Amino acid sequence: MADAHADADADANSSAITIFIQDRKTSKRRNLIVKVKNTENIEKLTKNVEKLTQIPSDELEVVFCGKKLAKSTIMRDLSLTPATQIMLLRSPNGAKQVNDVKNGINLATDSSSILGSFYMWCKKCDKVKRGKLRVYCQKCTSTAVLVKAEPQNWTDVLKSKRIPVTCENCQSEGVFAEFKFKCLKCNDLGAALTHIRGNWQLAECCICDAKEPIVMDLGCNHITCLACFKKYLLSTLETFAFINHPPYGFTLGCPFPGCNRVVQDVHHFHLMGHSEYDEYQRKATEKLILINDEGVTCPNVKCGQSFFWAPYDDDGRSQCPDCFYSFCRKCTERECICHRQDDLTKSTIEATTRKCPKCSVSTERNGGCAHIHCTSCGMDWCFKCVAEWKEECQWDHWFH
Amino acid sequence: MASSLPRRILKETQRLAADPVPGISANADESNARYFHVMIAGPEDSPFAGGVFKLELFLPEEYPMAAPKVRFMTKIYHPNIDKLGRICLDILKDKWSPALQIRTVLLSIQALLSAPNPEDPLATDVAEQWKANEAEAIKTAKQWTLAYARKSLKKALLHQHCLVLAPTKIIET
Repeated sequence: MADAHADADADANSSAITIFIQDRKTSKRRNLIVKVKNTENIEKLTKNVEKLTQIPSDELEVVFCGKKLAKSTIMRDLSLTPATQIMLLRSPNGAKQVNDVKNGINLATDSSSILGSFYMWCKKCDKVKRGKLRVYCQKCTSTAVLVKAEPQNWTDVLKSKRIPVTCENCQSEGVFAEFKFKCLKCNDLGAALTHIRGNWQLAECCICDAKEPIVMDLGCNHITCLACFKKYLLSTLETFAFINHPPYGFTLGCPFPGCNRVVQDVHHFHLMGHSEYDEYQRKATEKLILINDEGVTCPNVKCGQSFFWAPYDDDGRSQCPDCFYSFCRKCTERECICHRQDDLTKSTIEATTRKCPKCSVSTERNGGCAHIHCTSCGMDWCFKCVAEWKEECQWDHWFH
Repeated sequence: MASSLPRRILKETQRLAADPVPGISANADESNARYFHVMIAGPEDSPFAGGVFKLELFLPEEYPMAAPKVRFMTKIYHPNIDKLGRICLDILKDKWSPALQIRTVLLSIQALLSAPNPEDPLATDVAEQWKANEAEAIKTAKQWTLAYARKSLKKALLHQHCLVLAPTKIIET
């Protein structure tokens, strides 16, 4: 909120904007540069255009971000930059445009949805910023488009080929809208953060009770303030307690007890900070590789890179693509000790541990019950059966 | 304390005092605001009825991102509580969520007293007994309650500890 106001103040009170006029009556197009004041509304803009072009202002419709704008919309609310283009449409028969009152509800909601009730991760500003939604023609990338249907949800905006448009620039048939998010402050493109929203009801954070203006909501209405969510992410990163949740990858759930919603887009993890986000990405990739049957971690203590081994020339050995350390995949030793009988380390590990039935990580049970939760792959298994934890195990094996 | 007390801990402490949970009292230590002296009354429908159990609860530096550390100080015969008073409760381990509070943790412990869960035992000998002969196990639990938890009750009454007790019956042996 504060940023938007700061921006408006920083801008000069008046600025020049590029206007693209599509005259459907005469089938002519023209570009125009018009000076507008931030405090003026769309009606004033059409009056100015009338002076310059002699096209009656009530025959003009102002289209921005794929939508027709209400005449009462204030220029400032569109958060325009010098690069923004506004399209003016003149109807074919020169008919007068319907007024605001008739279309009141529709147009009112339209303008508010353009005005950046969205949040995004801005790399340039390095923080969560309010974003503005911009609409382009997917084919010619022109902004001279008019949407044929209103996007109803995030999927409509984030997935391509959901919202059809009429493009006045390329005039192609069957074209779709492409939506992009731009930072309200620096105008850079960024990733939309769909779980972040304004705290309209001024509800309390489920962790700290604070009533913050911007909150996380995974779609369950359990809200967490951004500061708490950051701490929550960082503590999850410490032990890498993220859960693999296809198709979203390694993610984490709503902190509210019993809620099973998860973060559906890892862009939200940028909240942690640069190096932590990189660490998350690296570890998540490694874990994903290890879940795969052909994934292996380099046993070189100085390396630890995880990679896929090629299954076609399999002699049981692999070479790390990063440090070129060559090793036996079974015993992870450079000189294979799989068949040696006298290795104390090997025999001790074998005597004191059992291998996770899913990821084969050596697991020692130093107390508690026989129910093992693998910290490496997340498998729940029975230490007695060395197999998946079942109801029988619950009844018969817990004290073994 | 090295760092100041987070607002959340202050709020929780105040609320525990102003709006106590029936059958549970939790008071912050005078010299350490992260250390709580806890009393839980044995639930009426359990073999622990009539007893008052003393626990200690500590909020680690990472709280609420990490779970509080809770331990029974009073001896108790329960399959999910071991000799050292350590509690086997999922929300104190992998199911911890930062949205949980001292209040919810203590309520869960109270519920654990009402419904022992021998499927996830910590004290394996107790769990075995509980499974093999539940009647005998319940009898032992009642005896232990009488032997060890009544003392806490007397002490609590003596010191007029702020404990809101659910009405309890005296167990006859």
